[in-house]
Amino acid sequence: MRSGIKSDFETWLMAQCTADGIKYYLTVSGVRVYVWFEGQTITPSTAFLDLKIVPLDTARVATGAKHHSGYYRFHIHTETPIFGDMVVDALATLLDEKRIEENYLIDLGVCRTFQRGNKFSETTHYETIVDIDFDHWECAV
Amino acid sequence: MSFSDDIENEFAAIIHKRNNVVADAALDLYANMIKASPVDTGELRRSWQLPKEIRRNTWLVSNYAPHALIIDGGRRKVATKNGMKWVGSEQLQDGYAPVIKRTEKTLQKELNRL
Repeated sequence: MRSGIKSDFETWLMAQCTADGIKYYLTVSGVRVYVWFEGQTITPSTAFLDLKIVPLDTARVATGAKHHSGYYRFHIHTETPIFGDMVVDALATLLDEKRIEENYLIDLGVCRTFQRGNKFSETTHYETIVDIDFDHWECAV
Repeated sequence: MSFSDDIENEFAAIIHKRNNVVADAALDLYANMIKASPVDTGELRRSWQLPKEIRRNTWLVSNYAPHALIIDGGRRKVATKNGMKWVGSEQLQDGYAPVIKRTEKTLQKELNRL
């Protein structure tokens, strides 16, 4: 996967959030949901989410064009699973079927809840995992 | 044999092929999931159940290990009283989703050939 697909999405998402120093957040029902990107040191708060980018195989078609695909995975950590659902709704409103046009043209799919309301031994928050597919076509030169 | 009989037989043959393609994909997925499973005690790898057809063209591939859900979510940090802590497998950083997506792609290609 081209690293630009990762950085373009992160840049775009930062622009949709509100900045708080080096941190970014979304506001969901009056609560700040901090957004942590890969490489940042996460500071837990009432509600926060972190982003991971998972590239899948790149396919080359007969014309020489390449199809990059993968998914963006959000791990949403909230103090109740119900609020986790509200964060998922907010992400869906923000991201579903959007087209991102920075250096690369990235088409987003629809948010899918992968796991909901997990709470493991010793953890303080409920975890909901949401995936959103991305597609990027790279033309043959 | 009438024309409508021919059509019916042809249709039945396509359905039969489709069912076989889906069954093969379920078995492939089962094998790939076992291969992708990280190993420590071996419990996760041993806990995969043989694919089971729960209704027409719907197969269930499942694992009953208690930590399967955590591994499936991928390697990530969760909040604990003592700060953030890693969960998931170092050997399977992205969980099983990439394995499933590859199987889906292969299945779609095979179905397109019918």
